[in-house]
Amino acid sequence: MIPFLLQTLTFATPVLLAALGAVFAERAGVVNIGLEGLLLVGALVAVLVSAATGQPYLGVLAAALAALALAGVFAVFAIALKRDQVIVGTTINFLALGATGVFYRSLKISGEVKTLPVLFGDGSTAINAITLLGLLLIPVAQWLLYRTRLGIIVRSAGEKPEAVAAAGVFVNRMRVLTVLATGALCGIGGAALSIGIANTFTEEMTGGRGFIALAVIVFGRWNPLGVLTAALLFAAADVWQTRLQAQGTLHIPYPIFLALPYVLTLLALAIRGAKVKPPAHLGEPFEQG
Amino acid sequence: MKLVACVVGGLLLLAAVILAAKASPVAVALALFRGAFGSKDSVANTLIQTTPLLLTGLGVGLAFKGKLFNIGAEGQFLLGAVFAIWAGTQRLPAPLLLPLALLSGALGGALWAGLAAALKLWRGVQEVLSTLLLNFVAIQLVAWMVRGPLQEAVKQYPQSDKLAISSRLAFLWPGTQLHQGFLIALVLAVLIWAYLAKTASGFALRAVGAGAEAAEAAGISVAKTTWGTFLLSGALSGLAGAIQICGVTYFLADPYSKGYGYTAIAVALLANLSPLWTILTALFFGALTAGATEVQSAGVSSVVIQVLQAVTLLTVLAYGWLRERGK
Repeated sequence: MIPFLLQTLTFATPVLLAALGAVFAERAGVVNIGLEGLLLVGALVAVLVSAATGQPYLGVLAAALAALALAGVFAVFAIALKRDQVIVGTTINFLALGATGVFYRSLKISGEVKTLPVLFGDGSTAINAITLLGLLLIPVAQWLLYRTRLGIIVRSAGEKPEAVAAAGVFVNRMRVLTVLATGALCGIGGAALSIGIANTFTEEMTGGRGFIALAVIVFGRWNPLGVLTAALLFAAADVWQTRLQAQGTLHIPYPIFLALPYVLTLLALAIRGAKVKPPAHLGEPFEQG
Repeated sequence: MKLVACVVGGLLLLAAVILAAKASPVAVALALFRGAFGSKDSVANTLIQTTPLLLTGLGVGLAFKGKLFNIGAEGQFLLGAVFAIWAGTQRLPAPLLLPLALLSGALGGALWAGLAAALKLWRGVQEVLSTLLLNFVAIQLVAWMVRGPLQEAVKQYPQSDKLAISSRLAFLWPGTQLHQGFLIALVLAVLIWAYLAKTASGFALRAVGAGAEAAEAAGISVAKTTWGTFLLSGALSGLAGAIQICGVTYFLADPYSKGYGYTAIAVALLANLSPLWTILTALFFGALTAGATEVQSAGVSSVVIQVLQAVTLLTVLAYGWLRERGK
């Protein structure tokens, strides 16, 4: 049971970090379909930098900065230029998918990819620093969102942006801040995937985790603790399907296993869907008077 | 002037990416052109690639016009292909098979989009999420189909049996692989334009897209219109998958799509969601897709096309902003 839980925690980390950042962005009124692309960029940059320098933590830092820069592009188009958030997010995904493919193939990875050091445990139960970071960030995020002035402003920016503006706070600056933080967290999440779990980069390796993160937010009712629970549930399903597949005792074709996380996510959304309410002004641009 | 500025900006960005990947932008551009228009075969290939992009582009454009973010054209395309190969290989009189395969494909696509419609209307699930997730399910469905229920009779490779010659779309341009599906797509572009511009149901779609509350107040059923838009949008992408089966590949394999359903989003947005302009933008992306086969020779991976798509979208977004600002 303990090994299963530890492996689940490791598998949940990329989704958890992406969703944690996006909870703040969505609470502030920004929906970012581009999480998938941000994770992917983080995954590639972590591998490239870790291989070039031999320093996995430098890889994590570079991944965070690269994804932050890409999130900056999202912020410019979606917030400063007030373009449709869904379309800008989709564009970010194209950009990330194309650019990671091009650079992965042209900049051959030189040298050995140094993976994240194991802090404790081994094999499938190994815990690295990013997994720990994800766990530690949950109470921090919960505190930030519900116990600080910043949290109140973030929550109000998505519910009553006019009121926030009337209080003299720049709504769009808050939104940019949450989008950039999401970018950095996605970069770290991507690194967790490539130099923490897979120990390599493959094209499209995020496999929809950015989209699952968006679903996790809905299921977790836009709060950090809920997001943790939901991310763990989905990761548990993922670990479970990997193990069932490895055992090979059940004669079910493997594509059905692979479809399982997406089907479960859809089912979860369908069950939870009608009962939850997103932030009132989610996805709408704001004009500061 | 603004348009020129945006396009130049886009091209510079693109050149920067290609240079960073240690290739020459000029060589890449020449290779793209050669791949798209260099010979009779490459021109035919451009039109062959245009066909699924036009149909899925029409589907996506229709949904976006109705303010429904159907990002699931890829999955709907795949379901269309699955349904078409299933119907096309049934034991039925030969003349029935081709129309049956095409209609089944449209039905498959509509069904997949219908799932998203049901989730949205009955359970309040945002269609952006459901259609994206359904794409991933569709990919695995194809993977399972070609290893299970639809695998070839000899059970050797993960692929389906081939369509009989009589169930395939006829060739359009002697000496090339261009098939009649291209004409079907062109006709549908005109029909969809007429539907949006001239029919009551098309008007309802546009009205709901412009503002659901106002439309409801004006006596338009938003739920009914949403259903209709989803189903029609999915049917167009499903038909694209069916035409790919009946006109190009003749069998189902895994993986099946080259990402037509995702490129469709760029096709539709570049056309500003207008069905007639979609013909031109599909041709543009069709040429790029065909040209990509040659790009490798210029020292850059063919996935550079996806960067090009993204840059095109950024250009469109920036231009849209400049125009609004100018008013």
